[in-house]
Amino acid sequence: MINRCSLSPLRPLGRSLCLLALALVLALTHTAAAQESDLIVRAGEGTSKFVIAVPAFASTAPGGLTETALGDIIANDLRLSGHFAEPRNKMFVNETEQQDRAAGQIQFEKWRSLDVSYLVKGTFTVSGDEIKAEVRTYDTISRDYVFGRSYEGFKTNEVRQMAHRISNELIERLTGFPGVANTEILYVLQNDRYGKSKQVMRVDADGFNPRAITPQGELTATPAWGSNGTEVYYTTYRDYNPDLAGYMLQRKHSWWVSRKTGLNISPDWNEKVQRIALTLTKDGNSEIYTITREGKEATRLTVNPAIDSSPSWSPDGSQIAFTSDRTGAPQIYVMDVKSKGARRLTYEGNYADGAAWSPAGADRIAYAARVGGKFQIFVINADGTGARQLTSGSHDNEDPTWAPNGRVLAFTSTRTGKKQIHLLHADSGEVWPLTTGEAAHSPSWSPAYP
Amino acid sequence: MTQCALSRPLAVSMWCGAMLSLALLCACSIRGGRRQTATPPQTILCPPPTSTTAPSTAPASPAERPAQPNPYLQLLQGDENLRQGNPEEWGEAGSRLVGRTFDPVYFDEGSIDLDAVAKRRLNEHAAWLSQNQRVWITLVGHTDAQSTLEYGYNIGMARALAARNFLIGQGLDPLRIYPSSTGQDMLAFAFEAHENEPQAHQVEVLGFIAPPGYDAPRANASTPDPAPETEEPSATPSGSDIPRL
Repeated sequence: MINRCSLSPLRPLGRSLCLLALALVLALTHTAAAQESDLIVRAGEGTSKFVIAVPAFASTAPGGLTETALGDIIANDLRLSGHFAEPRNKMFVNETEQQDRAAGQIQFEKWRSLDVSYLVKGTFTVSGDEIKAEVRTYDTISRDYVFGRSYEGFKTNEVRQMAHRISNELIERLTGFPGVANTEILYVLQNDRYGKSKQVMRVDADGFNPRAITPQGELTATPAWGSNGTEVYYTTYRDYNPDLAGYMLQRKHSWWVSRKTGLNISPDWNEKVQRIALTLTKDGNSEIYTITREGKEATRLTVNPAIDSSPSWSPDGSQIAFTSDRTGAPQIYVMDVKSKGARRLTYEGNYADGAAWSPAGADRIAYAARVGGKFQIFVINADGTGARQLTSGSHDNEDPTWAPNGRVLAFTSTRTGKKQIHLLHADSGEVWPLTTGEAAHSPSWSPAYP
Repeated sequence: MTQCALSRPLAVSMWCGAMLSLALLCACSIRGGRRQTATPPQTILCPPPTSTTAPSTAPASPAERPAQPNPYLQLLQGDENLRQGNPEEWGEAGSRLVGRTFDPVYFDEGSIDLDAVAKRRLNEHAAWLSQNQRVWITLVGHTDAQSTLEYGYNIGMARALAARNFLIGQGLDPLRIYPSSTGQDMLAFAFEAHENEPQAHQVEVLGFIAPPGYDAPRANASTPDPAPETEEPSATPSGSDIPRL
C-alpha cells in the first residue's frame, strides 16, 4: 500500500485529501498500482494511452507575472513522450480549469467528461529574475491527489529547462520510464539548393531553440554526440577533405579528431570504452576503425575489399553494428570488437544502412531498409530475431537515432516533400515532425542529462 | 609545426625553408579572413628531392618499372597525423586549372567498376597529365539520391579510389592524384534532381596547377617537362567560389 502523503513534500490543498486518499486506496483496488510499489500507472504500452491535461499554471503572486508557458511546454513534452494523449480540445481544458478556480475545488467529474485520466495543476511565482513552481498531479478516476513537487532555482529565462525537468519527473513518476524532455538532437541543416553549405545544428528534443554549431559556407556531415554529452564530433569539408572535427559545446573549443586522407566520417562515441568508432578510407577503402577522442590509437576492425561503414556501438562497448556490402548490396552486420568476427543481421529488402543500437531498454537495433523501392525504418532484436517495420508510405525514411530511453527514435524523412527530422515512437509507430523550414537530415540524439 | 624530418644536403634544406616561408605567407594571406577556432596541426609539404640522375632506361610498362620509394609518401605513411594535401588547399599558392577541363568518369548505378568507356577516358587523362607534370588532380566521387546519404559518401569514395588506382596503374604518381568524395552533395545539377539521376554516378576530375617546387617525380625522366597547355590564371577566389559543374 502506498502512503501517498509521505511521497510529497507538499500539503494538499483544500480539505484533508490525504485522509480521503488513504481511505480510497484501502477501499478501492487500483489495478496498475497493485503491480509495482512505486509506479502509478503503466501508460503508453501498445497504442492505449491515458489522456493527461495540463492547464495553464496559475500565478500565486498577485500583481506579478500572470502567465507562463510552463503548462504548454509540459503538455507538449508529455504528448511527445508517447505515453500520453492530449485532451481533444485544449479550450475545454482551460475552461474547466477556470471553473475549478471559481469553485475553489477540483471538479473531477467535469475532467472525466473530457476523458482526462490525469490532471496536472501548477502554480508559479516570479520574484525578481527567479521563478518557482509547484506542480500537483491528480488521478481523476480515483479522485486522488497523487503527488506534488516544488521547483526552484530556475531563472525566468530558463522556463523551458524548468518545464522539461518537470515533464521528466512526471513521466518517470507516472510510467516508470525515464523522460527525455531535456535532451537535445544534433542534425545537419541545408543552407542552399546545391548541397554545398550545410550547418551542424542542435535543437531541444521538442523542436524548439535550434542553434548552429558550425558557420555557413562549409559542407558538414554525420554529426554525433560525444564524451559526456558535452561535446560533439562531426565531419567538415572546411579544408577540402571530409575531416572529423570535435567541438566542446560550453567552451566553444574545437579541435581536429581525425584528418586522414579520404573519409573521416560517421563517428559514434561509446562512453564505456571511451572510443569513437568511425569510417576511414586511409588504407584503400571504407573500413571501420576506433580511435580516442584525441584521434589517437587508431585500431582497425574490418579488413576486406567491401565497403564497411556507419558503425554503431552496443551500449556495453563489446559489439558494433555496421553496414557492409560484402555480399554485393549494403546490409547490417554485427561484429564482436575483440574477436572482430561479424555476423549478418538484416535480410529484409535489398539494401540496409544506418544501424543504431538502442542505448537502453530492449536490446534492439534500428536501421533503414529499402522495401518496394523506398527506405523504411525497421527495428530488430540484437540477436537477429523479430525484424519489424515501423514506418510506411511512399517516401524515404532513413538514418534513425535513439533517444536515451530507448523508446523514441529521430529519423530523416522526405514525407513532407523535402528532408526533415521526425520523431518515431518505436512501439506504437506514431510519428511527429521535429524540424520544419530548410531541409534537415542526419539526426543524432544526445545522451540523458542529469 | 612539423619540419622536414629528413637529413639531406643543404640544397634541400633551403628548399624546405623556402617552401615553409611561402606556405606561411600564403597561410596568412588567404586564411586570415577565414580564421577558425580550430588549430589543426601545421603540415609543411616538403617537396621530394629532384632526381639528379635519370634512370638508365625508360621502363616499358608500369609493371617493369622499379619501385622508387617516394620519401614524401614515406613521410606521410609514417606519421599518422599527416594527410596528403588536397590541391585545393594550396589556395593562392597553387591555382585551379581553368583552361582545360577533364571529362568526368561515369559509373553504372550501384557500381564501382570501371567499364571500357571509363578506362578509355582515364587513359586520355593519364596521357595528358604525364605530359603536364605541374598539374595535379582531385578526384571527387558522387552518387545520386537513390542511396542513403551515408552510404553515398562511401560509394563516392570507392569510385574515386577505383579511378585513382587505375591512373596509378598507368604510371601516374599517387601524390598527384587526390581522392575525395562528397556523395550526394555538391553536384549542383543533380542535387535537386529526381532521385534517379544516372549522370550523378560519376567521378569529377579537377585540375590544379602546382606551385613551384611541387613537381612530382616523372614517370619518364628522360622526357623534358613541357610547359602546361594553359596560362596560369590570376589569383582565383577561394575554392568554394569555383563552380564545380
